[in-house]
Amino acid sequence: MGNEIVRLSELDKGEVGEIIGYEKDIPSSIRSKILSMGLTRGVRVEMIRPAIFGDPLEFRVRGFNLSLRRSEAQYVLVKKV
Amino acid sequence: MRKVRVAVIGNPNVGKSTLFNALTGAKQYIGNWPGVTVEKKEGERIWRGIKIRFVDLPGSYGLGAASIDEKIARDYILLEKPDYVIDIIDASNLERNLYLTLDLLEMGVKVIISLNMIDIAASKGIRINHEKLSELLGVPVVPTIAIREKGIDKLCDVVVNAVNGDVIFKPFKIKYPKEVEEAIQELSSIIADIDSKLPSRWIALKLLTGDEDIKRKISEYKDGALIIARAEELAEKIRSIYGEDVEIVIAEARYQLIGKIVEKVISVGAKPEIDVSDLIDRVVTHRILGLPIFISILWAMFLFTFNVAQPLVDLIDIAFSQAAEYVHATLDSSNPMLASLIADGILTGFGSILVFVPNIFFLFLAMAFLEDVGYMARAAFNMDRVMKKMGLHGKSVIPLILGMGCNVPAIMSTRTIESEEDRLVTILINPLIPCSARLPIFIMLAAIFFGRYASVAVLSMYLLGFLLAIMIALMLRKLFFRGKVFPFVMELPPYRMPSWKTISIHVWNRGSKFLKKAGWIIFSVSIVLWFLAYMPPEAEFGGSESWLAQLGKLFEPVFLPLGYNWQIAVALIFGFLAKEIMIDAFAILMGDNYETVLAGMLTPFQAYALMAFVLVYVPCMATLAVIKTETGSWKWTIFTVTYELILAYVLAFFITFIGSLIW
Amino acid sequence: MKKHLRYLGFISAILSITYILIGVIEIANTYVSFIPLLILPGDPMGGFVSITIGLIFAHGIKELYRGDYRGLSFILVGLIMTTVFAGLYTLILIADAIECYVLTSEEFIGWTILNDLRIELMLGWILFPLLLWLKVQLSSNAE
Repeated sequence: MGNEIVRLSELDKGEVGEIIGYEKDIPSSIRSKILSMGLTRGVRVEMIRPAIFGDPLEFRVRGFNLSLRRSEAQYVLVKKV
Repeated sequence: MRKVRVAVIGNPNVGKSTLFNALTGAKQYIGNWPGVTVEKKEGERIWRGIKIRFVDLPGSYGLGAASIDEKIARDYILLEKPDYVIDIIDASNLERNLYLTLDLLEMGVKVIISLNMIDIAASKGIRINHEKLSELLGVPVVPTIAIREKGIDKLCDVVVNAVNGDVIFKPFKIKYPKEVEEAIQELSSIIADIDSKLPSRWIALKLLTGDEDIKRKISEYKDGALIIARAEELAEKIRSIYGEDVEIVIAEARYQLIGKIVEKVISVGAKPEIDVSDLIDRVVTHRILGLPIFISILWAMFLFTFNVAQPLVDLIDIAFSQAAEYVHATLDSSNPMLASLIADGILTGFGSILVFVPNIFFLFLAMAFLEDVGYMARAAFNMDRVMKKMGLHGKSVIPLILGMGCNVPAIMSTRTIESEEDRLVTILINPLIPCSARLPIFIMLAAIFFGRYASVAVLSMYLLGFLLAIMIALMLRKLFFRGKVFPFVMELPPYRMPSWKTISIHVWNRGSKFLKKAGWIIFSVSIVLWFLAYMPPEAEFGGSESWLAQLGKLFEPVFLPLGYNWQIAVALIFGFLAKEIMIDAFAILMGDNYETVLAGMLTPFQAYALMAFVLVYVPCMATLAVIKTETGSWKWTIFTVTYELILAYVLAFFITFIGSLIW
Repeated sequence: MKKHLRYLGFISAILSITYILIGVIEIANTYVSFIPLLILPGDPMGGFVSITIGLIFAHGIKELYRGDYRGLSFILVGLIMTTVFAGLYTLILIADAIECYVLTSEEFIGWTILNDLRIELMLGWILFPLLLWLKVQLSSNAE
């Protein structure tokens, strides 16, 4: 149902989420990278598909395609749209 | 002539190499940034009476300290202070690309923007008003299509105009939320006091976000520690007000500004309905089809690199052996030493370098093609999970598989791995992958000692190699890179038609880098080995009386526990030159029936241990030379030799020991 | 375009069966002289590749028949693969020819062009125009 809050890593194929925040314990190197790629609060992210073995995940954000490991995406919290 | 230095920077995949090549022509100096595996490219262009020196900075998404690439880029700008920085932006991806631009502008750098790939953007219905963009950012913006060399001259014109003082670079400031702005003002005035040459506002920003590298640099100043402490206080205050870390607040403020800018300059027209790139991705990343496709493409690369290149390799081989024969025929009677020096030393030396060139050439052609088309990113994406378990990166899979053909181009192909640490580990374990040159020795020994089970024995060597590679990779991680988290975050660029121009310049650069850098190492070692094999003059070349053999006899006691005599030791030394030569060495030292001689000399276990030893002990000198050029340091090269020798010996000893218990 | 999609579905079906068959025969030929035709060498990896291509085509059949344009994914990639390998096998043929006639290498005594004229080479080139046609269709956006 809409407006459910999940981790970015939990989005299913085709689902869109709006970023609302990050986990408190997100490692700073991951956070820096994620922010510089444009994953800021308010941005919409679509989960396109997982890789062959299920990890990493391909997302579409700000008009380009991004790959993130589940272990990295788990730190981002999104609201399902 | 007036000189000016221009750094070239941009996100990965924006066509930076293409632009760089177009700016400098194919003549480039390629080396490494000191102490790291990251490649450094420099080139020149003389334009309207000014010598412009271009320096290619590693692709970066921002100027944080997140990766070595970004650190190198920002250190160069901070410390070397180039006169101008050309920032290449992908017109189809304006938002994300502007993040780096803002970082540069806040550093106070004189930025000239190259708005690249406007043709691709147009095909997606995206049009950008570059004059408005220039007005908003306060710097010149030049639309370019690097692949078709459009806008390149204009870009150089802007540089020259800037040198002549005809270009205005407006100072750029982002208005951050109130408390952040106050904190920045306070910190930057203190920073400006202790060193007026620093970009104080930018440094203040970095201190607030807790940038470790900048903190280190500032702590070297007299009152540095105080500044850092104050920054941390202010950051904490901001965190309590906004509920999030300063870094996030700042990133959001930037993207907000970017959003406003983009709104004003972009116009999106009719978007094409079908996204071909996505269509292809459906198949390439397909749960069932993805892996077979990957294997098929690897197979194609193999065939291309080794089968199609074969005639060239053979041609070089024939040319050099005939030349050597000719030299012997003409000079042997008059001056045998000179004859041998030229034929067996110099010509063989050159030959052993050039013989790698066709394979390298074809391999890099294939790889550059796959990279340009966009497939490499997908291959890394798909294989990452498997690679991660091995402590490696998705992009490590290609070099590892290629190692089965030849370690030399395989190690050179680690270039594409973005993270320094992953690249290093992949390079260091590569020699453990059994290359095709070792195959003849495996086959020979297996045939003698294992008869029907020869193919099993040989196959086990491959398994052993991969197993050891994984083990050592995990160990290296624990030993040297413990606790560091390496983000995999990677862009998946859209597929596109390859540009042969880009590919050929890239291949040419690789080939010439190999010849220039690795070439002299290989050559010197061949001369030294030639010398040892030749002296004393009365002895048969490489025979039992030569100094090389004496060297082997010297090592004999070391090998005694393994059951090898000096002849095998000498063969192993020859194996350092090139693994293929080992069989010839056996023939020279033991005579034509060397197989029978060996059969009598070793037990099956000792023979298997010998196979394992050959697998691991040292890579051929060409491989070592390439390790040196790709890692940029002797330290790691020596490390490789050391760990491999130790591992080989321990492994062989272990196998022999088990054998002696059972046999 | 919809009409074309059904035809493409049909073509996908035929190509799928063809390539899978080729692949199976080539793998079998490595161990036993299964169907000893010169154009079907015994080549386990080559056979694997052909089976893969056959499977790629197979995946597109259903979507194309239903008129779903996304089925084009499979036939597009399938044709790219057939073209790539046609080109590759051609290059190998040229390389081997050089080894045989120019370098007179001893490994190639008695070699003739027929040795390397495998079916994927010929079929791949025959299919090449179809790939070009498909590319044109996709870029001009005939939706």
